[in-house]
Amino acid sequence: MGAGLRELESRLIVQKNFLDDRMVLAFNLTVTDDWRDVPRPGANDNDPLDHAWLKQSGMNLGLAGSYRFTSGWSAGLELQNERGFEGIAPFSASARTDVAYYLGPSLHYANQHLFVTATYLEQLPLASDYAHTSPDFVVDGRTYAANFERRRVRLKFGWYF
Amino acid sequence: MNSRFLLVPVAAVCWVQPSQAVVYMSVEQAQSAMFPGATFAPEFRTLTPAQVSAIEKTSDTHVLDKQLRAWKASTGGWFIADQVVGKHDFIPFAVALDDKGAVKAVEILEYREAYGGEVRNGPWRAQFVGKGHDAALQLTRDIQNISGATLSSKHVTDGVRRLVTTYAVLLSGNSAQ
Repeated sequence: MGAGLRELESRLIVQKNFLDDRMVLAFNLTVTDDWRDVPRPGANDNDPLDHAWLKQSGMNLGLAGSYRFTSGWSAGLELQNERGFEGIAPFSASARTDVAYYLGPSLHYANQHLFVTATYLEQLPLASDYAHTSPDFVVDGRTYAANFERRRVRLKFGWYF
Repeated sequence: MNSRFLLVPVAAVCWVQPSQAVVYMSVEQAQSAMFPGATFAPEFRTLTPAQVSAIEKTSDTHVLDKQLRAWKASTGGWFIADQVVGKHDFIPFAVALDDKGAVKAVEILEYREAYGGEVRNGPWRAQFVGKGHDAALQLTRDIQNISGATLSSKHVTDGVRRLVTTYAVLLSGNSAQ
């Protein structure tokens, strides 16, 4: 929550471990609703009161598996399906704005105190842009709308105190 | 995206340091503590696929290592050193069995995790004493769980159950002095 942003995020995590917890399968469902305080279209820049709350929502479905192949080291694969919606309507097909898919590997290391997870995700050529009918927004099956990158690199560090 | 940034995660995972294992007991120290005054004859075995299958089926656990490190104690009973999966690393542990295959003692030899070290607590390990392969040896049934150390508690419990089953399958016919 900030001066021009209100966001509500809900997440459902389902995890199942196999092989003495060395293999992990996980599914995440994340639903976000946000309100952004933005100037109205055509607003006078000198009028700070001419603004409105833009409502958006998103739904991410993540499916991932990892296997600890040796002490402290795990390798995995992650699939993300990200969906954007106009308004507060995360389950409404008629309000869809974007749909994109990402797939990529991850590598995780952990010892007694430190853990590091590196993930590389590449957008799959399966995207749709319902908000923009111009072909420029989806190129070779990939959307380049805001928040939909072609490639993503995620690096997480953690320290157990 | 500038491809140089791809080197950041690669550098990060290359930079990570090996963990500092906390060694509480060597195998020899555990043997002396669990069988005071005894001498030990190694009875190392390589489990056959049939033995692995029998142990896994009876104990409902996975055999991680087909190499069995067992010693026969001169005072009667067996000492077995093994390891189970921890949250990030293996947990080496040892089990002392009496000449009927019941647990005399359990010792955690090394612990390399930030959490869950409570499995070293004496009262928790004492729950195993006297239990043989006919006991349930199940976490939350006859072995109490430790809150915050569930994974270690479960895996050590499973490891002890696997070793008392290994005794029944493999060593029980070789217990006479």
